[in-house]
Amino acid sequence: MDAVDAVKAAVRSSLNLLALYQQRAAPSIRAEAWVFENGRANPVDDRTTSFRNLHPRRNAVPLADKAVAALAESRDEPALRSALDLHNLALSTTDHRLRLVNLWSALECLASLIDGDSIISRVERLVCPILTWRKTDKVLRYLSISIHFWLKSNPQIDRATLPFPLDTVNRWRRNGSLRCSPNR
Amino acid sequence: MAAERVLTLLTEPLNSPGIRSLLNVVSGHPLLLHRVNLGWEALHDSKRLRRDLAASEKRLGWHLWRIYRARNLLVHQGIESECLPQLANHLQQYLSWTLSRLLHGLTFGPEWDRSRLSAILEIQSGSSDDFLGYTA
Repeated sequence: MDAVDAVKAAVRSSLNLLALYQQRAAPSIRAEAWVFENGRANPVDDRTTSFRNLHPRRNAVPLADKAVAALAESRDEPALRSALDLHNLALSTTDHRLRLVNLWSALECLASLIDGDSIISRVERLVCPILTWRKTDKVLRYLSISIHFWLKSNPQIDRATLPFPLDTVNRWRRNGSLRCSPNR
Repeated sequence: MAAERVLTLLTEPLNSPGIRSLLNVVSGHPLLLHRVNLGWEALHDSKRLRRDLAASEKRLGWHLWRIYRARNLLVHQGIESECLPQLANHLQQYLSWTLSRLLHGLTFGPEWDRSRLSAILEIQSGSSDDFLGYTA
């Protein structure tokens, strides 16, 4: 994978020069790559799989509807709208450098809502409490998923001894709680 | 909700049937058993839970600094950190959760403004006494 990255960096550098002299965007480099070995082309997965930790919200449309209505009445609308813009921009690019820069800019927009001596202190004051507050929920969800996978891989465990009804497990599956593996 | 059910079990008193049964179910998986045990212990010791959350907050702050440094190196000196893709993924999670939380706050009503945001953050940071009050 390091070899693929090195080749991509070299090609990107050449394409950047081409873009400078042509005064137009150079062809983009695809994320996938192949390594020729023993006369065969083996595909190499991009290790920078983007945003794999987040799954789409099941009720995305109603949530978006509510947020649109709420946003229309907010005084802090410009900061939030800009942050959403930059977030969307980050999602639309495959280049992790651009992604990081845009995501950080989005965070800075949000941090403008907070008082602080520096950018990083404002970001910290905004993000840390919100994320720390969610930690317990995150750990519990992780445990739920781990228990489910443990039960799934051990059908010999007596279901009658479970401290929760089996339909709970099915409900977890239905509501999307079990969509991600604990190992990811 | 699955997490709520697990929370109920983990907050049961020592040796109660529910938690004994859960420990028995996961007894063949030492790591999971350890995590369930850790979770039970944390939820029965408010001071420890507060300490754990404070430590988590500190680590998160350090990670934000790491991301900020990587971003500054990239933007100001053109140096690309080795773990930039991973940092971008983490930042995506942080931003997504923060944005979702703020938008959720907005849906509480039109009176939401900066002072309200500060109030939310203050509650979530919480003074230690408040926290112990919530978790006692």
